[in-house]
Amino acid sequence: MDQLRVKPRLSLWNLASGFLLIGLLGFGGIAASANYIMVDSRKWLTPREFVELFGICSILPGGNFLNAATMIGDENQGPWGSLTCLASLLLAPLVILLGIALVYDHYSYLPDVRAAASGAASAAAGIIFGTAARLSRGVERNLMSAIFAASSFIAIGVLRWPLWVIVALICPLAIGWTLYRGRRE
Amino acid sequence: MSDDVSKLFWAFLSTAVFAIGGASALIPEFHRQIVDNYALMTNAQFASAVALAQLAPGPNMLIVSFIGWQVAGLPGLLVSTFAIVGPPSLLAFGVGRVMGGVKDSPVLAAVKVSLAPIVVGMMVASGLVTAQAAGHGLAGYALTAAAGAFMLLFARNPLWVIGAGALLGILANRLGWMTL
Repeated sequence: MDQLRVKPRLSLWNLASGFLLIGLLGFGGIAASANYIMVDSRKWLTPREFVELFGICSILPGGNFLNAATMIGDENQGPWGSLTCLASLLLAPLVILLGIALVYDHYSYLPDVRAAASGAASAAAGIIFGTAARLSRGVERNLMSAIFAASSFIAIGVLRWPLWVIVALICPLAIGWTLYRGRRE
Repeated sequence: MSDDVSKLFWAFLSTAVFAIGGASALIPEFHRQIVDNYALMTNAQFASAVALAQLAPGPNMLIVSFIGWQVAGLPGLLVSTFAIVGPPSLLAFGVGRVMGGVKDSPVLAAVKVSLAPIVVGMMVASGLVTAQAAGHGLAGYALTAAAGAFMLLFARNPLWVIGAGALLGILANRLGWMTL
């Protein structure tokens, strides 16, 4: 068990500088930079611990890596560790985002800049579709999965129902069905 | 708090509690709150916010910070970020403290398996809502289809796809295929 292994606590500085780098290097998706810093470069976690941590973080509400920052921070340095990790992770991306926003606001009167933003927005929609298609490869292939995916899509994308409908209705049904099926087998 | 800042706060706080699937799955809910419910942004502003937020590194959830900035400047950015990050972080903090006990629970595994198809459905809805908000008729949808196919086949860094989309947008506009 992990509890029996003596694991030195990570220092506040190690955590702060690590999460600053994860944010800074996470262009086009943060998963790669988080894995690089946490597992390869700083050796905070073993590959298995990394996968376990993100398994838990991905089913909690909110951003996976924000949740992971909260947990790693608390595990090593308590509540202040959590706050430090969150702030370090957000700092560099927020500054860069502000830079992008200021440049865009300044030049958005130019037709070319507005055309570029429109084209980028259409491409961003495509990126989301492509990511959804990639993710779907990891989903169990059966009728009920298809029904849950389709009903979520229709509720949110077509009927434009609020998100709580998914969380309050479809999620409990899906979890209940998985548990029922597991018991039957 | 100014009126717009408090609208941002409530919009994102009420989303944060249910925010499953990450930012890419939540675009329809952000759109419903910010464009439809509170009318803080137009469709075009929302679509460009989705695109521009992809240019920055770091957590995808920063699209919320970007929307906050566009609507109400620095106070909007800070309040929106706090509203979307705060509640899930508190929950993660609590779960982290008991994690030793839940790590290998079969219920957790069941929840993970069950949520996977739901998140895929939500993400397809996100693509649809973003494409509709971006608009620009056939040229826009053709660009979306091409970007989606490229991501699926090659899985390169999405920054390249955004950059190519921007260049093609300029080209389509100059050729008169796309009206702004």
